Amino acid sequence: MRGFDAALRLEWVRLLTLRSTFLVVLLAFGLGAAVAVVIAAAVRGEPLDPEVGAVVLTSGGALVPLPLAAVLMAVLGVLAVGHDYRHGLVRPLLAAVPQRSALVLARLYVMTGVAAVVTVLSMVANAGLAFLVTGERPPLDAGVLRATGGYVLLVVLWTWLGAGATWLVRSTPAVLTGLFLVPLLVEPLVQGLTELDTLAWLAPVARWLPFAAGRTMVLTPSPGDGAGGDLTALQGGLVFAALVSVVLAAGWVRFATSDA
Amino acid sequence: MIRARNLDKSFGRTHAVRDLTFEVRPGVVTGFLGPKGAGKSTTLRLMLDLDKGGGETRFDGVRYAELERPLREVGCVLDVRSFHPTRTARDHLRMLAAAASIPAVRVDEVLDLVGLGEVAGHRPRGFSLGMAQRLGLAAALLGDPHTLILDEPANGLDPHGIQWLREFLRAYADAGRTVLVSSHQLAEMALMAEDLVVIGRGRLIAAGPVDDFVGRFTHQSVVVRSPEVQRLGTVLRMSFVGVTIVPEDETTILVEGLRTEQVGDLAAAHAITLHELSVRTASLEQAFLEATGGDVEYAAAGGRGQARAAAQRESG
Repeated sequence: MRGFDAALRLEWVRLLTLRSTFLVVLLAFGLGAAVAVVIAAAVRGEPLDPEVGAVVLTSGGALVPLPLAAVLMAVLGVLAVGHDYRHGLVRPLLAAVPQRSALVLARLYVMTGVAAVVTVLSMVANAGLAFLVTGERPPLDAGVLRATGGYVLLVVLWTWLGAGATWLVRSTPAVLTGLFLVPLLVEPLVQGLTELDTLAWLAPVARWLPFAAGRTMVLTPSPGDGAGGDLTALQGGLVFAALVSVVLAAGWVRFATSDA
Repeated sequence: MIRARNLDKSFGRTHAVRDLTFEVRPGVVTGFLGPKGAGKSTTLRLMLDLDKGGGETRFDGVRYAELERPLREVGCVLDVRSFHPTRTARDHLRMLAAAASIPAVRVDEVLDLVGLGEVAGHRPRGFSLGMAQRLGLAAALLGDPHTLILDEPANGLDPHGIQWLREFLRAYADAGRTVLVSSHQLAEMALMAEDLVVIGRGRLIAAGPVDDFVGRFTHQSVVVRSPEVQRLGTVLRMSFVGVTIVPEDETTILVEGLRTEQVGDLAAAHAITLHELSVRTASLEQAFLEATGGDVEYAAAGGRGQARAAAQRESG
């Protein structure tokens, strides 16, 4: 693609010359490790089964509404795009690389690489810490491998969501608020409302809430069978990926067709 | 050579740029003039495909988005503070240089060139407006481009900085390069530019050499000072149809529509003593005001006319 190489070089230097990049990556490692150590210490003395092992590796994984690495990498995605608008950088960047889609692709490419590498290294560090605390290596059966692979995918999708939403809305505070508010408040509220008899009809809808659905990618053993129960990891992943695709596509179109 | 054709841009119901066509030739500094809100910045963004609108601009025959390495062909400064406040000046330029595979040594070269060498490793958070302007100029010069497009580059510069900028841009243009500089500082533009593109309310008012513009939009006057200025005025009116005489004070008049020779010969023929006979050439500012008088977006009500009327009411 025309301009992609130039955009890739620019994007790499852009990311490496920002203090916030290193701060967010350090937070992802540090907080992830702290959570892993706390969980490992809590189960010390008991056999590290695959379910707990996956939770340790993914720093809490599906147990928390905001998966740690996913949120932090999403913040990185938000800042990557938000800085352009907040500090008027978008025009110099487009003057350097006028092919807007090349710039979008290069940014996604670099962010994907960073998010994936940080997540994998964080899980490796968590495994080492778990071994130090419990004396056991976390088991790596098929279920754990699926959950950890799902975690990497989930983190990448969150990163894309952060960047895509910011291209669409062009406001860092608005996007950050949305990214925290929807999975922390809106989705639990909708799920809670289904407990009321009069709102029980919401239950089928609540199954498809995208952030909750996305977390099924990290669950082990595999959740649901997709037949009236919970979504499977694949179904959940597809639901969350659909949300990310829509937001990213809308943001991409806005960036490519609007005034800079 | 820049060729802008039929540039057009609307923001809702506001037509910011209307069917604007002009050319900028290499070898001279071209001033891009217009009152505030005339559409200068929008036009520059349209030219660089940063804003979406009608028309097209070609740089030596190529659209900006199709340039192989844009920074090596066109350098631009559009906004003064277009940098991340915590990314050092050097890193800001390194980032842009990376896109065009410009070596790092060039980054320090341009920082030295614009006088920011000593603060290259500083975060620009605390940069003054002038320093920010210099950093923008350094970014524009990174690729040693053949074309420079600068939006109000003198804003925030001190007098030394303005003089440096003027000399730098003239030398840049003298090397056969194309330089387009937008500004509303007319005195500065009068010293810097040889060609002008003047717009008002998004429309082209004039394009061409500064002298032509001044000549077209102003009248040359003859200043005559004489102890017999009343008699001279009467003689002039009787001898030349359509001549305009504007009294300046008790002994001086401005004569429009005649040359100095005509006034001098007539005075001599009627034995009228003259103490001064000279030509008063209008300034770029006068020409600009004349040309764009009806195209100011937000004008103060009345201006000098109302002030004069108010003074007359006071005295009456």
